[in-house]
Amino acid sequence: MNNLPKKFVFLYYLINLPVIDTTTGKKIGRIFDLAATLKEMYPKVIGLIMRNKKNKKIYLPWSSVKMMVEDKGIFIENFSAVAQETFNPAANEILLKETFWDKQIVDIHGSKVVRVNDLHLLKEGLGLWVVHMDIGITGLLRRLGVSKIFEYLIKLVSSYEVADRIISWKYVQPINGPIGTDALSLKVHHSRLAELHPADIADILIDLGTEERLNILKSMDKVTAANTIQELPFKIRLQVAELLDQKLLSEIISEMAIDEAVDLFSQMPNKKMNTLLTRLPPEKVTQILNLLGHANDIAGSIMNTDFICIRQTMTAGEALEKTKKESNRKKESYYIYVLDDSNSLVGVVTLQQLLTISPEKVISEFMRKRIAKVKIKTKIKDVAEVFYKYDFTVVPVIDKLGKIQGIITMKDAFESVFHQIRKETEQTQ
Amino acid sequence: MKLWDKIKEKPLMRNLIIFLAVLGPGIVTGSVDNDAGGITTYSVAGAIFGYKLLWTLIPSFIILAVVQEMNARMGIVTGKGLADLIRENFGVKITFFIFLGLLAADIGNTATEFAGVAGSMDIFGVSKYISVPITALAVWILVVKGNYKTTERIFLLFSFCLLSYIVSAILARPNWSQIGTSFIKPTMHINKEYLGMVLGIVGTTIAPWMQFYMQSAVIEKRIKIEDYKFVVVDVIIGCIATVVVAFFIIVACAATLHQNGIVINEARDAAVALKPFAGIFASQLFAFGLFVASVFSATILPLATAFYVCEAFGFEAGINKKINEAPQFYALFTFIILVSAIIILIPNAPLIAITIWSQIINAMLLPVVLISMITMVNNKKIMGKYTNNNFQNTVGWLTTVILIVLTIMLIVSPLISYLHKFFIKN
Repeated sequence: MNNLPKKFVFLYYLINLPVIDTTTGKKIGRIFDLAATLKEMYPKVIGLIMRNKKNKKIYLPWSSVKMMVEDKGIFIENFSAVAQETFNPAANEILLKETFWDKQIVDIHGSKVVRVNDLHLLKEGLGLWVVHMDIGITGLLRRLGVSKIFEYLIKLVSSYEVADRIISWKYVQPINGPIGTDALSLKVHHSRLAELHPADIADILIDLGTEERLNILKSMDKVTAANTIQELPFKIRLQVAELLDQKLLSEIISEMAIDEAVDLFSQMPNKKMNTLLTRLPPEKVTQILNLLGHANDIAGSIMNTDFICIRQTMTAGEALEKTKKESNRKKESYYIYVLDDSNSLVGVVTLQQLLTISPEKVISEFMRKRIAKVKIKTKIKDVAEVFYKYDFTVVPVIDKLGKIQGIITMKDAFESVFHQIRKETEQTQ
Repeated sequence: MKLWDKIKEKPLMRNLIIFLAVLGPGIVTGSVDNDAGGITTYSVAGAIFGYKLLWTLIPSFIILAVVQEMNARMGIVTGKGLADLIRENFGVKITFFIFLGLLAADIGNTATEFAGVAGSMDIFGVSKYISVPITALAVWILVVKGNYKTTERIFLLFSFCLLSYIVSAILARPNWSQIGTSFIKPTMHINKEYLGMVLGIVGTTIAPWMQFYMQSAVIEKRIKIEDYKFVVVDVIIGCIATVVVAFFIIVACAATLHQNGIVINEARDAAVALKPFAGIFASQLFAFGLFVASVFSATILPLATAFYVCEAFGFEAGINKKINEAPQFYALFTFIILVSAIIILIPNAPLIAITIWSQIINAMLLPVVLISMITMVNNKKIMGKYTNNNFQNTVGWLTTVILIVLTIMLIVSPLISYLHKFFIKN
C-alpha cells in the first residue's frame, strides 16, 4: 500500500473518502468535513467529521488517523474510544468545508472579494495544512466532477494547460467566522484586513452581505471601524448604523470625526439619535448638537470642532507642549490657532514654526496675524473658493463675535462641493 | 431649506419621501414581467376564451406578490443576491444545474423579445432585418457604453407606456358586465385547451429569472430593514401593474377578436387584427406597447442572466466594471444578445418551438428555485428573526406545490401536442 504520493491534495479529493476502522478493517463511514485550527501560520487539520451509514455525524480527532491511502480511505485506530458525538470547536477552530467551500473570502493581495471553489492542502506525513484557496475555473470543474474529462478535451485540441487560480493563505481573509463566533476569536480572524487602507476595506465591505459586513466591522478596532464607515457610501453607512448594536455604534461614533458623525446623525430618526447621544461623552454631544443645528449648505455644517488653540501670551515651548498633549486626540495639528483673552481668533502658527523657533519666544511675536477665515454662515461653495485662492489645507471658522468655532479641511470642503458628483458616482456603482 | 426640513418632520411626508426613495424594484420587475411572451399569452387567451380566463389573474397576483415579497425580504436582510445564497447553501452542483437552465431559458426568452421587436416594428412597416439588428446593437451599446442608471430610469418611464393597453382596450368597447361576471362566477372547463391556457397565464406571470432580478434590485437600493414595509407596498404596486396590464390586454383581445371568432398565434397578430374593430390608433398603440415591452426585456434579461451566472461562479460582474475587468460578464452578455438576435433573423426560424422549449426549461427551474428560496427564507442562520411566519409559509408552500403541479401539466400538455404535430408532419 502506498500513501498518497502527492504532496499537495485538494479538499475535494478528501471529502467523501471512506473512513476505515483498523481493528475490523471495515468501512464505517465517509468523511463529511475537516476541522482545523487557525492558531498556526497555516490552518492545521485537527480532526474530521464523518457520516456513518445511518447518516449520523461523528467527530474524530486527527490523532486517531493512522494512515491515508489514495482511493481507499482514511484508517482510524481505536475508533470506539475516540469517537465523539459532537464537535465543540474551541476558539479559532473551524470546519474547512463549511467555512470555505462556495463561500466568499477577501483576497488581501488583490484587495477584492472572491469565491472559493476548493482548498489546496499540503500533506506531510499524516499532517495536513491549508496552504491555498482555489478560486479558478479548474476548481469549479473539479467540484462538478468533470475536471478529468475537461482536461482530456483541452489536451485533445491543444497543448494549452489550464492554470489553477490559487491564492496563498497568507493573503486570505476569511469572512465567515468560526462556528459560534464571538468578537474575540473574530478579532484574530480578521486581523489581515487591517493591512488595507480604510477606503479599500470599505470597497470590500460594499461587495459583501449584510451580516458579513457587520461581523467584520465588529471585529475591527474602533478607530479603523470608524475610518472604514466614513468611507462607505452613505446608504450603506445608514444601514450599518441601524444594524450595529447601540453600545458598539456609540463607541465607533466617538472615534469618528465630528463632521462625519453629524452627517450620520442628520439622517437618523430622532429617537435613535437621542439614545445614541446619551452614550457619547458630553462634550461630543454639545459639538454634535451645535453642528446639527446648521443648515447643510453653510460652512458650519461641515466644520470639524476638533482643533488646537493656544493663547497669544504663551511661549513657543508652552504651545508646543500643549500641542503635543492634544494632538493625539485631534486630527488636524499642523495649524495651531491663537486666541486673545476674549477668546477671539487673532492669529495662527504652524507646527513647523513651533518646532524650529526658540522655545522662549512669545507667540504673539511671530504668529501670522492675517489669516484667511470663513464665517459659520459662509456658503460651502465660497469656502471652496477660499481654498482655491490661498495655499491652505485647513481654514478656521469663526462666529459673529470673531470666536473660532471649528475648522474645515480641504478634503471636507471639496467633498461637500462635489457632493452631487460623489452621490452620482455612488449611484452608478 | 428650512421649509424642506419642516416638511420632512411631518410623519406622512417623511413616509412619502422614504417610499419614493424605495420605490422601483417591484415596479420594474412587474413591468419586465409583461414582456413579449406575456403579451402573446394574454392576447391569445383573450382571443380564444374571451373574458372567461380573467379570473386567473387573481391567483397570479397572489403568487407573484408572495414570491416577490420573500425575495425582497431576503435581499434586505442578507444583502446578498439569490445566486450567492443558493451557491452558499446548496453547493456547486445545484447551482450549476439552475444556471445552465437559466442561461438556456433566457436565451430562448430573449429570442422571444426580439421576435416581439420584429413583430411590432413590422406593423409600422419596418422589416425585421432592419429592426432586430438595430435594436440588438442599441441594447448592447446602451449597457456596455452607456450609463445603466439612466437607462433604468428611462425604462421606468417606459413602463408607463404599457398603460397604452388600457387605451387600446377601452377603444375596443368591451362588455363590462360580462367582465364583472367572469370574476364573480368564474367558469371552469376541464379540457386540454382551457387548462393549458390557465397554466400559460400563471406560468408567464412568474419566471425564475425574476426572482434573481428582484432580489438584486432591492439590494442595489440599500434599503434599511425598518423601511421594509415600503418595499412591500412597492412589490404590491408592481404586481398590480403587471396584473392590470394583463387584464387590459385580455380585455382588448376578448372584446374584438373573440367576439368575431378570430384566432391568433402571436402578439403581432393581435395588433393587426385589432385594426378593423378598434381602429388604426388602437392597433398601433398595441404594437407600440409590444415594442417597448420587448426592448425593455431584451435589455434586462441578458444583463440579468450574465450577472447572476457570474455572481454564482465567482467571476467579476457589473456594468460599472470595464470589459477587461469583467471579461466573462461582458462575453456572456454579448453572447446572449447575439445568439437570440441571430435566431430571429434566420428565415423560417422555429419560433414556436423555441418559445415552448424555453417555457419548459423555465417550468422545470421554477420549482427548484422556489424550494431553495423557501428553505432559505426559513433558515434562522440566514434570516435571523425575519423568517417566514405561518401565513407566509402556508401561502409559499401552497404556491410551490400548485406551481409544480401546474408546471408539470404545462410541460406535458404542449410537449404532447408539439410532438404530436411533429410526428404527423413527418
